[in-house]
Amino acid sequence: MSRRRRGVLAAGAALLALGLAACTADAQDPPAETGEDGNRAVTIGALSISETAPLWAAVDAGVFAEHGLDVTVQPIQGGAQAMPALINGEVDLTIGQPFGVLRATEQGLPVGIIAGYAESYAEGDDVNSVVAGADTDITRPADLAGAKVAVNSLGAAGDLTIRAAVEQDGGDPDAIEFVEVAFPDAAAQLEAGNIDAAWVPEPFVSMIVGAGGTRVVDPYQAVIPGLPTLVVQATTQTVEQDPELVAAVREALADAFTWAEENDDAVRQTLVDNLELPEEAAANLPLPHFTTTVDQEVIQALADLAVEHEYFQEAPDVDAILVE
Amino acid sequence: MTARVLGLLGILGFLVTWEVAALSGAVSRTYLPTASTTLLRLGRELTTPDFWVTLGDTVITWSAGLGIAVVAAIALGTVVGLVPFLQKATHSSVEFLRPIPSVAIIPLAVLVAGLSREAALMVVVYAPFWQVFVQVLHGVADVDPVAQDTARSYGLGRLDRLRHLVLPTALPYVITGFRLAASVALVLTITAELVIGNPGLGRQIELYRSAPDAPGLYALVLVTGGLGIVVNLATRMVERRLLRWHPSVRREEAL
Amino acid sequence: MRRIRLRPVLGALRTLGYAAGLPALALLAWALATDRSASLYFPPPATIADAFVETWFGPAFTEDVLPSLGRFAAGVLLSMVIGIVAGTAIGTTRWLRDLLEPMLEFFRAVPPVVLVPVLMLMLGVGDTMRIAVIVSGCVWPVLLNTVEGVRGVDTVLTETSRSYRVRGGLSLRYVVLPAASPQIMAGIRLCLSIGLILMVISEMFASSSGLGYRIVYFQRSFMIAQMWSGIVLLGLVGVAVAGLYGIAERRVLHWYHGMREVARG
Repeated sequence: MSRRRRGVLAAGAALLALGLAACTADAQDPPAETGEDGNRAVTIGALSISETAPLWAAVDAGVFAEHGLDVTVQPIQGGAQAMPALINGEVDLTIGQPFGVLRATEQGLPVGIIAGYAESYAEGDDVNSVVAGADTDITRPADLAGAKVAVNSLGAAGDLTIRAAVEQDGGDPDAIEFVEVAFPDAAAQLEAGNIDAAWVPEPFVSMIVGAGGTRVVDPYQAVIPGLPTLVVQATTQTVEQDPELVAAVREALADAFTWAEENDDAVRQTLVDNLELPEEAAANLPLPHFTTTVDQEVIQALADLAVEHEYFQEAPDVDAILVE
Repeated sequence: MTARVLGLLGILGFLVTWEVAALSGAVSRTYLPTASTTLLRLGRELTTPDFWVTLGDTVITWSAGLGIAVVAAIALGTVVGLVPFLQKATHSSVEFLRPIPSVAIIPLAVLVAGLSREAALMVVVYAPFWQVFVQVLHGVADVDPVAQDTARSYGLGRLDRLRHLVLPTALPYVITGFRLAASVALVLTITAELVIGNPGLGRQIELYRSAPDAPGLYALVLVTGGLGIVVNLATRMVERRLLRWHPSVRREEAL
Repeated sequence: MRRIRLRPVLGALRTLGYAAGLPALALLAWALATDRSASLYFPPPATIADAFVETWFGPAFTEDVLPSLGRFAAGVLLSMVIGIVAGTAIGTTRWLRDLLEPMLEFFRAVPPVVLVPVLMLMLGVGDTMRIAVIVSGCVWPVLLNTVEGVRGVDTVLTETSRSYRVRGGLSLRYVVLPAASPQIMAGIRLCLSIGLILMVISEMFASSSGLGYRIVYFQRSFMIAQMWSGIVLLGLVGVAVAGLYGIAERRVLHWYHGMREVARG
């Protein structure tokens, strides 16, 4: 019986009898599974978003196999939901937002960052942006004070950096009225006038601007230039017990990104295959900068900002979170 | 006959209203497609194998959840219902646990079971379980005390009484519970797929929503409604079959 | 003398024992089980109790709990009014029933959660949308049960009242609705439990406050004890709602229960 199933049974018992259910997070020992060809089997949890494209493409092209890794990309629904899968051992690694790792460690979950994955641009048009609806007078960050602003999930890097950007511009961050709206719904809500502005990634930024919206601010770029949007996460147990895996994944991923740069067509084809994007949209979609390096100062800045805006009660230990 | 014609008229009226509302442009066509576009899309969906796989996933999760809930509820309900001590001792716990909305345990299910069918099952099993469980309790309690005494004085054993007295009395209650549970389980299955993201119609709806692919989204909404009707009709048929002898059904047929 | 006094005390103790025995045992078992192994997802009851007090006895009560309950009440009341009014109309009018029945069956079968995106578009992201989500799911049991109840009113009863020239509004008020009330109340009971579920679901979308939102937020932030405290609070709300329903039902249906008791002899 799998660990997961045992967890379900235990939880069921807890809910039915209100008790006796503490035996779920028992000792976990990820067995070193090997595939038919002697490659190490690795499951990577990743969101079904355009940023996952180079991973899909490189796995298909066999870049990971060259490093002795047999990678399965497991689609996951939301960043925060990936963490339980990681800790349950359902996936070996996840690709998710750095803020999630900080939050998880703050709550005592044993996870860390083993490599970078994608980062926002320090200059030029960033990969995500706060866009205002066509009918509003919002043009600069300070105007967002008093406005209804949508983010996909509250209490994370999006609203945090927007608050900081508004404050930088002389606005009152407490006057922003945040509301949770899923990225795909934001354009419709803006058009209907239900919200004044929305924080969205590409391709939604282009869609909304194309429909007459205004690009107000790129909050990552304005507050912490080059902030990673995604990093590769693992449990501390994996980090401690399986340094070979960590090293192999890092190298393979670096190779994958180099390969992806040279094979842009293959990368974009995966957008058509996996996300059912129309070919034209896939070809023009702006992608973030893919890199395996993580700048410690940037993560530290994010942690400090979270403490400053009282998202965290105490500063997370960034040194411990970033795995050497 | 006229009833059927009127019913069809009702459906037609709804479709026309939808078509006009969408064409009026009160809501952008990107988000609210016309009835005709949606129906065409539905026709196309029905011919793709992927659609049937998705539908199958939903049906599997639903039937597994419903099955677990019903079997567990009947077994536990009968035991608790027959033993007065257990009934008194569990009453407060049952009254506390029963009304907890099953979606409230979605976060817990996700934490414990990840983004899997098991997580969805926790959500799907919870509410229908209580629905059937409580009905079983009512059913067992409804056994006529006079008949009970009579059976006992004729020397019927525990099992015989269960078979000839308790079961026939409780069956209508159990079936009613089952019918309610079947539709609640379906709603929860699709909700769980939508929120948790395990494969099925709910997830496909979420994918179409993110695309954004409004005709696909609404085509699937129509499918969920249709599926609900099928489940409802099927459970009603089961009810009639099993309760042929029961006055409530006999009366209905006589009318 | 002493014996007479002792008996009610013993009786009360026994009732208390039955009510609190199993929960106490379960809590104890939970506490013991979580004491030995530090489980991530199942914190000890004491931790949950602490989190409960800390989380809900404060601003969260007015910011999250009260608005949720308000929307729940509004949604359920609206569903009851719409359901009973429309149900009576449909139940007493043959052609209307034939016309609408297939559509009603369909709408009832659509899971309310898939309507959230549509309702968001039409009604915005505020309370109206959330109440509409609750109504979109809660109205069906009341409506369909009212239709069934009204339709099933004893023909002898209606004939008699007609021969006594009790008609229209009077007949509705004094004959049809009371006769249908057991069915209607059963519908309301379902409506309440579905309403709680939808209250939570409606707060999972386009939200920034509410009990459902808070629980999901705690889960996302890995604040497990707080998440559990929210689930416990929802349980308490459910118990309170069920209790209120019980009182209301006894009031509305006291004649019916009395009749059944007589029938049972």
